[in-house]
Amino acid sequence: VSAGALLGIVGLTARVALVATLLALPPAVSLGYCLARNDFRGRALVQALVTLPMVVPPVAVGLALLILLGPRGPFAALGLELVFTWWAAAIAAACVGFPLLVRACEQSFAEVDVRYESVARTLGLSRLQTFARVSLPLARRGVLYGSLLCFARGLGEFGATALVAGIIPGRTETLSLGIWSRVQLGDDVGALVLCAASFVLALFSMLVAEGWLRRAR
Amino acid sequence: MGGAGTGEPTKHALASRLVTLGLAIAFGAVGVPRASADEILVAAAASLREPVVTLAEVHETRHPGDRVRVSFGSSSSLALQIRHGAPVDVFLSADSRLVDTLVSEGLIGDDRHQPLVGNRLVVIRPRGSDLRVGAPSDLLDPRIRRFALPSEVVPLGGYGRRWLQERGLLDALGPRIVVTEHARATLAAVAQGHADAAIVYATDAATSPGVEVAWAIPDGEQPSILYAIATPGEGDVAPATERFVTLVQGPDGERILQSAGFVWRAKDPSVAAPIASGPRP
Repeated sequence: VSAGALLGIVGLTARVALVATLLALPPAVSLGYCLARNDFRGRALVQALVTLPMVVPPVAVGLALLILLGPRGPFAALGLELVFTWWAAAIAAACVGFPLLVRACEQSFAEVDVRYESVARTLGLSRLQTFARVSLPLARRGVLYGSLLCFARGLGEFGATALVAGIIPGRTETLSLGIWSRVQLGDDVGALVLCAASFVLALFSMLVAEGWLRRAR
Repeated sequence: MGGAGTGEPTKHALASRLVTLGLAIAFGAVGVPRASADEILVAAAASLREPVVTLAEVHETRHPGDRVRVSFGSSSSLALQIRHGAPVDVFLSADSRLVDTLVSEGLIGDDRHQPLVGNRLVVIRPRGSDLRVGAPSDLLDPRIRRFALPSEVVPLGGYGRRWLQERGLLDALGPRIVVTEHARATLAAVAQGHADAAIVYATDAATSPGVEVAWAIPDGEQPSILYAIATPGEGDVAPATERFVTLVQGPDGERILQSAGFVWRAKDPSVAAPIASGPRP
């Protein structure tokens, strides 16, 4: 593995996990808030459905995405060619990490005292303003922690990613895909170099994330 | 929308976090894959690894503006990716029938595929193993507890399984087969001692110091193995793609593939005209 190629693979892996987390954040935060604030019939079913992408085999998620994002899917009809691009890898990682993020958000919004929100409303803030300036800041640790879990899950995503993104060196080859393809090709040294790189990347990102979490306290 | 109030320090922390995120994305730009006009994607059978890496290097040296990216895998999984819309410019398949299927599905134009090379099968064992094979039936030797072979959709798996089937050995050997991903993974399984024997391409056996040929299957018993080159899609072939295909089908391709042990099958110009100048309807 050349230094340039290694840097590219590490950079792409970090980018995929990061973009996946950013993609998952808006829907996960809104859904988590809704689940925490509303008790409705079928809530348990929604919770179960949300958790599914984490529970079913990632390859199954990958297959669903392949059909959805593929040339005969709805996104292709909109002119978006996503399969076998790094965007597909990011979307796959976002889907698989989504449940972790939703559950963490739901949990932390549930811990925010509703009375703070009521007071903010009586003081004249709209629902959206209340959410943005009271609920979200109070729940920030949980949201941040969920994002960390989602990011971490994205760093190592393999099954769904391999199916929708392929293993294209320099375009979609992340660390986990690179390790797997090298092991299959009998290039054990290359695989071990990538393993070491993924160890360093994981350690580095978790240390940075721990720092953020501490400051968010 | 006045700024002060509840969350000043929080907002500050959030803002700094967002800045850091932005920086991280920018930093991640090292890994941003940018497909340039003269970048081509070659999807190649794992068994073609060394010669295709060499050909890509030769191509980039000769045409400094071109960039050749190669994705190696089993030809069947590469064909599947093409079927699902992977932007493959050149497909090097270990079984020409996979290309024929893509042609019949309209994914490869009629004039955009040619036979390329042939190959042979050998039986291998881990280096230092005392396994002796002199006839097909020796593959049922009880010392072969694990026999590595890909599934039948993978070219090597198809060639190998049909060969075993024709000799009435597949059912008996079946329970001992460990299914591997592709030709190179089969080779690696034996080289690392995870399997006691395997059927692989002769070209693959020659690349690994961890295996030795237990039985070079004689000519009369060899199946017909034909690799093909194709440029998926219809219409005009991009110039960089055409340059690469010309290189592979030309004298350099012949020399590099032959020195890797492949049998050149693109010789006869009447059977194998260069793709780009093939007949057009």
